[in-house]
Amino acid sequence: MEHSDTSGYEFWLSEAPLTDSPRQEIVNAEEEVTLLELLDRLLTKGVVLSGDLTLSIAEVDLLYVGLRLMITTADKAVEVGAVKLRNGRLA
Amino acid sequence: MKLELRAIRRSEVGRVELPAGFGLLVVDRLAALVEVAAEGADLRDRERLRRYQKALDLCWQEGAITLLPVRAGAIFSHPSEIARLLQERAAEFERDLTRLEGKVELGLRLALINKAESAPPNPPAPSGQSRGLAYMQQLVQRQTQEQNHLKKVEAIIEELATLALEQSYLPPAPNATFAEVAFLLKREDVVSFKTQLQHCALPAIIIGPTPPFSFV
Repeated sequence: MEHSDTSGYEFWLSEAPLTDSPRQEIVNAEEEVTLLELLDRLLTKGVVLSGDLTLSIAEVDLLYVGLRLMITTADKAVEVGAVKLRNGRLA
Repeated sequence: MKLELRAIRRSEVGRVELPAGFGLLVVDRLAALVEVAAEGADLRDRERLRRYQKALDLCWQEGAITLLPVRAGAIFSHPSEIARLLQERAAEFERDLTRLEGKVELGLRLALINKAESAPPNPPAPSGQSRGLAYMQQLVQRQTQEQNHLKKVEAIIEELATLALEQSYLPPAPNATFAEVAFLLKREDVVSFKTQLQHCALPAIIIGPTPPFSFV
């Protein structure tokens, strides 16, 4: 899909369908770490673009706190033996 | 529907195929990697994160395109708003793209507490010594071990920094279980840097290489 207007920009949108690939809920530990690290960077690093986005930024802050809590909790749970890893996955 | 600006790149370096939900908005010499997301879409959704990862990989790894990654929260309702932003801040973005051309980030998480070296909690009191005093002595000993461990970690970071163009490191918070550091490297130096990391005596998680999230 292509879109442009008189303000001098062109916008192409991928034509790949969102439903093309089935959802994969089960992930291995390595991919889980990769995705969490990516999310961590997306939320805490990168170019900061200010604007009328106060609500979204507030949501992000809350999400970030939640993520940290989740990582700490999972790490602690494995460490104290409350859960075990089998083949890199939570057993 | 909302548009989330995910990264900025130069427009003249060619177009790559993008995963579903992503688009490219071009204004003069700059282009924005944009994600189209439904209202209320959760950033933590794995499928969404996978598509974002794929978009980064296609642009940055396969296309060797230098990216300025954008922090979450840059949400717009119409493409013209993103175009206006790129026009208004073109000089700044072009300067950063020039500075980071061909450079990548490699992150490290280094474990701070070595459980094997730490003293066991609540040790039995030696004969003739109060239990409280023994506990305090063990606590001091444990803190000293942790401080020594942190010094060892920071020495490794300092050594690795001599191989990098820049580093981003903040001393860890009290009670943190890991130290986090990011190094800015030339793309072609990543393999040799990782080889050097293998000599690192401490357990570490290597993150990346990724676009330079910590240096923009």
